[in-house]
Amino acid sequence: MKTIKVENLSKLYHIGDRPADSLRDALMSVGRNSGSVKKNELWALNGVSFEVNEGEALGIIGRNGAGKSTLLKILSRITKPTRGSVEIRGRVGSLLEVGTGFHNELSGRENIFLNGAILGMKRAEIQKKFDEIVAFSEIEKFLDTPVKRYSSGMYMRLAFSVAAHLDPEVLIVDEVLAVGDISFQKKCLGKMREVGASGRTVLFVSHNLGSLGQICTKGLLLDDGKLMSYGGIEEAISDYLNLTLTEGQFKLDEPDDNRDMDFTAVSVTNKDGRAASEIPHDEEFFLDFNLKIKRKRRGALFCVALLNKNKERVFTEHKLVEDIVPGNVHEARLKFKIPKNFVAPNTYSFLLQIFLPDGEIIHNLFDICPFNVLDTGSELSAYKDYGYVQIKGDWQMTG
Amino acid sequence: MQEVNITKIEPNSSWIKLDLSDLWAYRELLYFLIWRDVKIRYKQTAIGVMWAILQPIVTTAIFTVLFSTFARFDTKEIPYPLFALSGLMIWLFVHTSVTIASGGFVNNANLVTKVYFPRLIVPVAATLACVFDLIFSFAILVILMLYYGTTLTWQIVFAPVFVILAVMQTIAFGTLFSALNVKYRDVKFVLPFLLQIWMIASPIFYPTTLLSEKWKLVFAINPLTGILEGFRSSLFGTSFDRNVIAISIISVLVISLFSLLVFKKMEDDFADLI
Repeated sequence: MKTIKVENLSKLYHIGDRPADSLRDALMSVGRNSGSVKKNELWALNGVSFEVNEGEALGIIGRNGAGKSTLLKILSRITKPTRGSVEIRGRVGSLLEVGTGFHNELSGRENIFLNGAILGMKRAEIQKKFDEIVAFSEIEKFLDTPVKRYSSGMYMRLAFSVAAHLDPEVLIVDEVLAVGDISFQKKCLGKMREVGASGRTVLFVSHNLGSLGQICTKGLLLDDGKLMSYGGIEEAISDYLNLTLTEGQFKLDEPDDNRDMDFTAVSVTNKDGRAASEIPHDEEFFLDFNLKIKRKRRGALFCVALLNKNKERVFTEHKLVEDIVPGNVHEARLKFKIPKNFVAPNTYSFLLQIFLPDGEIIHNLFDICPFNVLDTGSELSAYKDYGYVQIKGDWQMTG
Repeated sequence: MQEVNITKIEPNSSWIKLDLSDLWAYRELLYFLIWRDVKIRYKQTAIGVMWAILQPIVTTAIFTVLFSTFARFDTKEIPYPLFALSGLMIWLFVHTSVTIASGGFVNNANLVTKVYFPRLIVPVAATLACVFDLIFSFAILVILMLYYGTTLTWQIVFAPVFVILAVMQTIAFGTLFSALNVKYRDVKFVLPFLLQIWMIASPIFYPTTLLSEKWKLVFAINPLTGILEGFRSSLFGTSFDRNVIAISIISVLVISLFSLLVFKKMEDDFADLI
């Protein structure tokens, strides 16, 4: 049965200066003809149509500004569409933020009731679930302390706990999983999966492709306010990764005539050989580059190093140039492979160098081709920090 | 058959729908917002809820010194402190409520941009939370009436009617300014002047007997004129000025309807404008 039916949904925003921000503008614009209003229009959503069946968990993906939040805001009735319509069967609960309406001066206990009411729960319902909420949040001892004295972790735990006990037929969630410490995040993820499995319809927006892959069955990809693809979640994630492929390659400085050897056209490429800035954690990828040789230098070495966010080396690889490029070649295209399931989800860049054993550096490219390795559905996706390498741990009990 | 709730979401229509049933469905949220506002109003103040008692007492004392000693307004059989307090308690309520309600959306911006609820709840809750203060000033009034030995007449039964009218017109003004404030932050600066003018134009510290019959009817367009007149007549057993009260009641109804229409017209864009 169809739970949600979205038809030709569009939303227009006037960006920059709002039509009349102050009374003065409003008064001044009375005598002026309003011909110049059109320039700052932005269609945040443009003709989006789709249907969601009962019990489906739909992941909504897209780059920043693709229209994900606008879609959720319209479905949550916070803002009205400019065109089109939506029909939703059943009680809708939406969590666009954790802890909406929490008041600092009120105690944890009081905020549970206030926040519950704001999320649309009835008082009797909150009372019934009160003990469960408190137990889930792990803040029993501080129940009567004003929340302004809470640590941010405690605050978020309490806020999520109230939200997690919301019990609607249709649940709309925006990025709320990124709260609390790791063990609490796992708990939240578990709760979300439980909700998904309980036959309720869930709409979920997240940048964390890993948790989307874990929770959702279907995926919807938005780009520039338009619906790009709608189908299984794996399909939507791979469409998203294709979308984020970088068009050009990494831009290098002009070649230097004084250099004996020059790198040109460096890029990170995915398994299909296309330049990419987002790499799935379970696929191999390459550092792809051209080398121009004007004058041979005996003993010259390549150096490839993977750099982490802090520009520290994750690994370094050296190779004699003459081992891979025959002596009569003046321009070569080279490829360095990084195996799949090796680099952990995180943000990286490369160092690419050609140097002589005596320490002379012929060409040095530091911190080039920034890219992300993305978790596309590992069990680790609840963790924020993965480190830099993936291993398959070998565990034994020895006593 | 299980009851299925169907939500339809469509663009703004040019028609204004006065659908107030949603407000009833969200009555528990209304209750919790009132409860929140009452609870936090006097948090972290040294004397707490004593402020609700001190405010009307101190203002009444100042007015009594000013207007019964120096200006000598003739309030007939009603002792001036009683006259002043009965007017002031209503005025302080109006002043505080309209001020708080007008900032309602700006101060609760995160609610508006993150959750759906009938927007009207915000100014209504802000105003009803202030009724709490009104209860305290009423207690002081009762004590003062006992002190002056005021004898009650059957007219006292009408007192609640005028309090309800006062609450109604306050909700109307609070609603109007809260909506305007979302779009035009100028409200914050304009409102204090408007309230000052309104106070001077209302028979709070002077009796309407200062005015000619004709002017009285003009003043009655200000809903507070009829409300204060009626409230005092109910309390002190003086005769009701029916024309003044009738004009003020019509005025309350017209203002309420106007505010509601303006609000309904503007509310759909709140989340985008705030």
